[in-house]
Amino acid sequence: MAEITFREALNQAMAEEMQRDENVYLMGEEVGYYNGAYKVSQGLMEKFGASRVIDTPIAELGFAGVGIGSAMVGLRPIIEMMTFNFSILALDQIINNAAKLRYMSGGQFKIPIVFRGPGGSAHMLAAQHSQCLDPWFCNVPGLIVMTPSTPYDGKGMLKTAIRDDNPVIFIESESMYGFKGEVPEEEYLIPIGVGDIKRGGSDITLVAWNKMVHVAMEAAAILEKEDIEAEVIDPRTLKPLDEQMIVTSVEKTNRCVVIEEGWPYAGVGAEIAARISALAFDSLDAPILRVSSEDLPMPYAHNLEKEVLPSVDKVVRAAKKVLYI
Amino acid sequence: MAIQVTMPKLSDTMEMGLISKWLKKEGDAIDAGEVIAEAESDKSTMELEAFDSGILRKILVPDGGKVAVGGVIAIIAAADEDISELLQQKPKNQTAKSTEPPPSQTEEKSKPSAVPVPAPEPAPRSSDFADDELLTTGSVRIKASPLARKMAQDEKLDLHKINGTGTGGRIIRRDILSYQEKSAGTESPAGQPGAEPQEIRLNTMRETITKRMVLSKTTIPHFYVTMEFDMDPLIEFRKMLNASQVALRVSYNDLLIKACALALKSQPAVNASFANNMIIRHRRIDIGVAVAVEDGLITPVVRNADGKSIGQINGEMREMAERAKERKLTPTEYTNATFTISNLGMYDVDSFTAIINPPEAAILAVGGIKTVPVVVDGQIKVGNRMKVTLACDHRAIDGATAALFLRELKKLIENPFTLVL
Repeated sequence: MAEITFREALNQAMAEEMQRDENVYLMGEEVGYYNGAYKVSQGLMEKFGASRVIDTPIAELGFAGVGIGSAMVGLRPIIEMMTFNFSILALDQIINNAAKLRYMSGGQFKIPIVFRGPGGSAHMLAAQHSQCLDPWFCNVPGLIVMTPSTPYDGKGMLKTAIRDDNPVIFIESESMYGFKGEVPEEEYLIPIGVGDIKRGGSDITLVAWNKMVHVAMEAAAILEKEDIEAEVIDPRTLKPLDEQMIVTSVEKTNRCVVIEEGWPYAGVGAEIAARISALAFDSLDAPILRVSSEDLPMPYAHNLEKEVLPSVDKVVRAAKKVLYI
Repeated sequence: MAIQVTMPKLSDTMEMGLISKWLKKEGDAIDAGEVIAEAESDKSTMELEAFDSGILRKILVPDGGKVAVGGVIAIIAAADEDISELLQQKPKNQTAKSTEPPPSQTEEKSKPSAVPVPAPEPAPRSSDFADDELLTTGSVRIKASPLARKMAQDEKLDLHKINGTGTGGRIIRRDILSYQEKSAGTESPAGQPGAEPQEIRLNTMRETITKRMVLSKTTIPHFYVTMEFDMDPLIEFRKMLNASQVALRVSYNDLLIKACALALKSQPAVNASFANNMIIRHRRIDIGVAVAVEDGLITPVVRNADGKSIGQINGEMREMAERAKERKLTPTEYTNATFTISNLGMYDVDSFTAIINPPEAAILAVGGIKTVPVVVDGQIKVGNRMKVTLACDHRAIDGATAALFLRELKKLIENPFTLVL
């Protein structure tokens, strides 16, 4: 199996799907001639031409709308948001059209569109460009929200997202594009709504996604030195959520910490905690804790940025708290 | 027609009732009005009367069993009637609270009746309730994780006996496991047999005291004002009163009740309750007096004490205190006071502070009469003094008001003839 980077895995997913289906096309800022702001679309324009890899002006609401319109008439657009911070400008199209039109047309239109790009913080990008908006999209009926943590998951999930007939929000991470991982040569798909146990354990369940999976894995390694076996669950799709996988794990471990990069208030972690307490109440030996970003705009200063984000240390402390040690 | 007999609400604060003893057994014929069982509320033991005639077909809560107010305790029906449906009836999620009057209506509405009030709806079947009973005793809630609760329920363990080591004393899985491990071994944990501390389960009265005192001390902002009274005049006055009639034995408490009633009349702000963000000023002056009984205390109430003579007060108190010790007071006799007196003078106490008995707004803690050197007109003399401490709910009463009340009380105690005017 070849070891490739996250950006290469995503690139392969798009290339393979564009190859397979001529209705698939990519559109966004700098995706063509510049080969992508983060080089995820490297070589695609050369391969598929300017009619299927389309550079846009800096006008998110406009090109999101164009994408949705084209999806309504049979194309399968991939709309790259340079980062999801800029998707805020396109929210009217995403929420009011992409998420609603299938419902409001009584099923006459389907909207097979993927909005993809990096979300969350990277490194010293300050308050406006370091936002994790997962819960915003999860809150809207009609949207599927996927967010991979490894190159393998990224490729298999993006191919599924492109093939699905519903709008998919596909959130990557700027700081994970360089991560390497094994990706098989042969084709594979990872279904929507199916999580992955990234590490088995019997003492505590850590639920994390996107780059927080790696924070959770590091915390699990530290806990292991103290004979605590943490199970790390990556739901991969945030909506619809693989609640069964989480519940099964909590029934085994009796305790859970959810790690999310987003803000705490009304976050995805709150949703997961609510579902666990509804579905596995009698299995809980401790309250479910969340480790999230602090409820603050992201500071620019790197030392403060580290304080605001969830850290391995914060996860270890929360884990020990629910383990009563 | 088959009738469900339910646990009546025997006192204002009652949430759970205990069947102390069934006086009838299954199969007995019952006439309406006949006493079928004795039940214990948080304060007293009362007789339960059947409202309907028939055969006592099924006892659902056995002797010693506990049930929430409104819970079905038995079924009365004709001898050949099919009661299976009543037995299988799903318990409703009715809690004792539903039959309590809302707090704001305490003053006007709650007229506790000696006649047990049947709950409007059939409530939890005793068997279903029994499981919950393992987990909580009345309203003294045990903190346990859901998992620990489930384990205790499955293993039929009594959470009261298990020490919680989680956050804030929460009982968690490891506590259940270590308890099971401990009980599996036959040796006593301390090594020495008989060295274990004695664990005493709360009776209903102690539960009520626990609940109400915690509620009071955690929700009512208490403040305390102490004043010393010259007792020489009252000592003299009491001697004269008791000498006036051979049979009369007026106590200091009787005189204090009267004095407090008159002081409350002149300082009505103290004769109050705080409820629902409102101060309720009572027109009646009903004074409760704490009487120590085995395992607890009870406060018989002298109603409209301001309008009663010292002789009347003395008669009522003597009679009620006696029945209090036998736990035979009816709820009307020990609930719904507007002010309470707690006197520890007989134990040689100098002074102490008391916890307010909600929803009242004040309580007077009375110390003993001490013979002490006192300064009168620049001369040191021998005198008798007594200290009282008024605890007040600061939401309803301010310091100056409390001081004015005590000053009025002092005036009455030091000029005791005013008590008979």
